[in-house]
Amino acid sequence: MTDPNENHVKPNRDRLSLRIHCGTAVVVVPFLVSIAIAATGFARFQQNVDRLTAASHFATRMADVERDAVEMRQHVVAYTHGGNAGDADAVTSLGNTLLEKVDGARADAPDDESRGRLDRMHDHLTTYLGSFQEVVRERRLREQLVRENVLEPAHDVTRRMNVLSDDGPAATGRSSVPDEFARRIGTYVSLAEARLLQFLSDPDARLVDEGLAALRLGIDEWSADHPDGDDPVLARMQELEHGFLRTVQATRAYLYLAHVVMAGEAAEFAFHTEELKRRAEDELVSIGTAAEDDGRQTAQIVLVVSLAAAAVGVLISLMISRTILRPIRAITETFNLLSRGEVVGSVPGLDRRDEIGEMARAADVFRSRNRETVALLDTTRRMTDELDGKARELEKRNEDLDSFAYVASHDLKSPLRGVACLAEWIAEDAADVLSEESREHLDMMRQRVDRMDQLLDDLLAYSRAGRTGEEDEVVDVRELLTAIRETIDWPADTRLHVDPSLPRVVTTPVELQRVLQNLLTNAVKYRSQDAPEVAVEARPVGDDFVEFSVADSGIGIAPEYHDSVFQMFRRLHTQDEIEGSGMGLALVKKIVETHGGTIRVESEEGRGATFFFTWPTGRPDGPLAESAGRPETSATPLLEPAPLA
Amino acid sequence: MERRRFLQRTAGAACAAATTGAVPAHVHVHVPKRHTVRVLGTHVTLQEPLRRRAEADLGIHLEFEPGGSAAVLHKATTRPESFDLYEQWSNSIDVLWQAGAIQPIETDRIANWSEVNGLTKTGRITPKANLGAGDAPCKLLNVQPDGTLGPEPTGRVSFLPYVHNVDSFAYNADVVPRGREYEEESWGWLLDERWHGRVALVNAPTIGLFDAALAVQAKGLVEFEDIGNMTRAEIDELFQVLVDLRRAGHFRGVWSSVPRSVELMARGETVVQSMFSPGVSAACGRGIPCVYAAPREGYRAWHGVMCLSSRTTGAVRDAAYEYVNWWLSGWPGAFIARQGYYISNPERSRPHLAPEEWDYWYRGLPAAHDLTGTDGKVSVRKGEVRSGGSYERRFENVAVWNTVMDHYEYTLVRWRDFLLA
Repeated sequence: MTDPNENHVKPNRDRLSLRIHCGTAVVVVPFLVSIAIAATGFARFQQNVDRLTAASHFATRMADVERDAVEMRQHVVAYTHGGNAGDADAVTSLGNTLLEKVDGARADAPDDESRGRLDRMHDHLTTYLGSFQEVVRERRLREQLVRENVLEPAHDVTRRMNVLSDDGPAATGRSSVPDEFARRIGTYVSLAEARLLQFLSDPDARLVDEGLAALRLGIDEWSADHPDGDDPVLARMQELEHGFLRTVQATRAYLYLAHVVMAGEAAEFAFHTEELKRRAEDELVSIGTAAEDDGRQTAQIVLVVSLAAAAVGVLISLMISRTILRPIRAITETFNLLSRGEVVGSVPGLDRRDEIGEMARAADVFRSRNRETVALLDTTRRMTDELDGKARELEKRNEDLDSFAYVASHDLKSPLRGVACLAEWIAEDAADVLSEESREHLDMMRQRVDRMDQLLDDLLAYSRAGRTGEEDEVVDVRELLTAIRETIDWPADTRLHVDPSLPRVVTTPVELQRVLQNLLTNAVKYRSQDAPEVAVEARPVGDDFVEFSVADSGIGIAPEYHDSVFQMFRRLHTQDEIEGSGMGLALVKKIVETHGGTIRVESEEGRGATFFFTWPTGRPDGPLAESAGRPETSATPLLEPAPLA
Repeated sequence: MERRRFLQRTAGAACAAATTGAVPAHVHVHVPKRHTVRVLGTHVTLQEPLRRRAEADLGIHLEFEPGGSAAVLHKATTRPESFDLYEQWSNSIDVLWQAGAIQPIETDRIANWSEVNGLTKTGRITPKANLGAGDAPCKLLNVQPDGTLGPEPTGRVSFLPYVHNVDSFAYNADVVPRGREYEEESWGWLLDERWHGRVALVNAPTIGLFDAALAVQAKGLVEFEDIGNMTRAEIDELFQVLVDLRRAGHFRGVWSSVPRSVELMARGETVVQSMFSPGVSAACGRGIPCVYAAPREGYRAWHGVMCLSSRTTGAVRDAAYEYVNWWLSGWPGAFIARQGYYISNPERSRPHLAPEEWDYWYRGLPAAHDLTGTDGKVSVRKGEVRSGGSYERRFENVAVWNTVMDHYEYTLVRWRDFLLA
């Protein structure tokens, strides 16, 4: 037998509940992770949407900036060609708007790189607009120079030369100016003017050189012809030269600003705009791709994690099944076997350190008890079988003995009856010839034969006790007593008291009659010197039995004989003192016990004796209830003189 | 220096008089007016340390107005009254002179004029040196009797020769394989397909145009009769190539200032580009392996000019002359030598340089030890050799000078076409 304490382990170690909780956690955690991943994926999706919106917004801003920049440049080109003030105003307005848009876009810029580019765009645009203002100034300066310092002096000189050539020297007061000379000077000035005007529309240094060369030729010739320094024509031509040069420089400066500085700034501005647009478009594509990738990745991860979780769940289930359900089934099977009383060799799972181990150890206790019980049952069954065998053997022996007794008493009675007949015949036939002594012997023989016959009857009755073969019937014990009273040779002074409430029982009347008859016979047989007084009473004992008592006022029985008086052939008196076979009380005891009852005696020597025996009522509702339908008898003991005495 | 000593003396005397009370109250002490000279120019020479040193040395007040090349040229040509001295490049002389914005400088008033070397006076640093296409400074230096500018000395010059250098292109050696100087390094690298989209030019037709022309010519795409003075047809051919390349995305763009050029390379937007010496130094200082090429076709050279405004007269002009002289007095030349520039009378600066500095900057020898720049930081590591070698060797290999060509205006138009292509 296994001692449950032997396998006692630390309660918190390898607890099955802990494993189950851990297993549950292992199953739940992947799902939580899956949920977290899905939530993260959604958050990233939302972020991508936000980024997409911002990038789209930024791309729109950049497209707007580019459109305005193109429009502004168109106005710049228009202004440089036509000098329309409206174009200049449009450039300024668009430029300021662009600056605001660039600064606004900077606030929405997605990263430092973009902000840096927008900062540079701001700088380029600022330089561009500043240069444009210089362009405007230069163009206005040039217009003023052309008007005041080129055309006006040139026309003045030309007019003067025309006058000279038309009116002759009188016009100027100088006789040395021939007509041809005047026309040549005028031609120089006109050529210079023409070349400058050509230069303004098609800037080319050769035009400047030609114009300047012509003008300076005119100046030189006029100076040579007019050595006096204070000459209005020369002054006008020198003024024209200065205006010519300033106009050229203004044009060059204006061209440099417009075609180099502004174009350079515009190119850089356009480059950064294009780059930001491209980056925004790339960002849009990237976000779209990232969103797709994120979605796909999230879905894949969730799928993988879910599958993993499912797989883990299955594994955990299998593990639980393997580690819990299977052992539990095994232990359950063990309990079933134990419940069926089968012997189980060992209980599975005794070595486990968890709740199943505790169950197994508990089952092992049952197993041990069961094994002991089985062993006990085996012993009991064996003993029962053995007892049954002995009972059957004893019954057989009793039957054999009864059969022997019956056969012996029955078979002995025939020769005994023959001896009695022979003795009778001898007495009748040889009465005359027999001596007195022989007759006495013959009488003695007849007495002995009678006694032997009585003994045989008693033996026969004893052997038949409980096997009368008669059917049970309702017996009125009082009537039965009346019948018995008729068969007993009552002494004359006998007083018999019969309980008027004696019941009716369902039983074999012969058996009850013999019991009562033997007890009443003994009451008068073992009388004292006083007149015999006998009382028969009854009282219910439980629902199924009634206890009868037969009390007498006889010689009594010493207490040490209260048991032995019920033994066969046990007699407290000699045959000579009181005649008897010694079978009476043994027969009574056998009959009572055969019917399931008990018998005892209460008595003291010289103070009478009372025999109590119980007898089955034969009906579950009890014997005394039957008395209700019968006329009541007096409660006073019936004292009747023995009519047979 | 005389004025400075005078100022010191007079200041000391005034101070002494005030403290001793020896000077009667009715006696007026003459304190010369501290004249202000307004200098318009570029960041190359208009540096605060130079201004402070010049003021301390000369006792004059200097107002520096640095700006971009185009802006200052424009201001100078149109508003000569707005400056007293103009510091820029020789290719601006024609414009300034023709505009009457500047007046001749009397060489007699330049104390160290005789020390000015042959590069400016004759066009050659050594007899075997290339003169270089375009407007070599010697062609623009002297004011001829007819008022034009030419090579013949007349005692009057259009500018003071002082700072000069050679330029080329620079490349990022992390990306572009290093080439051997004067043998493998070529202007053609600017058009190399491998650097598509990562090439930039300086936004100045008188400078960047020659970088592009040298590159196109090096690649054999266009052959110029005179690269220093292209014909209109040649200009068209050149810009046809450039416009096509720009439309194809070969050029990242153009830059308009040195810091922009450094940023372009620092951000990795360019790996080969036109560059100035300070830009190369700055890029190297930022850890970029920026190599200043010594092209086999020769350098594009430039020469600084200091011009006197046509409107400056009297005492201010005298003060301006003092400042002009100061530049050839030695210390300024040594100062700018540490920034990689040359001065027209180098020997005057030599005593102001350590021998190792002289060896590195002028002789092209390896640096004997780490050399510090004018900002006090190490600008040259021990063992480094100046790209292109010595002063003489570099200026013996001049392919073209920065020039305003006859068709300058036309190049402006085509340059715009190129920029906005």
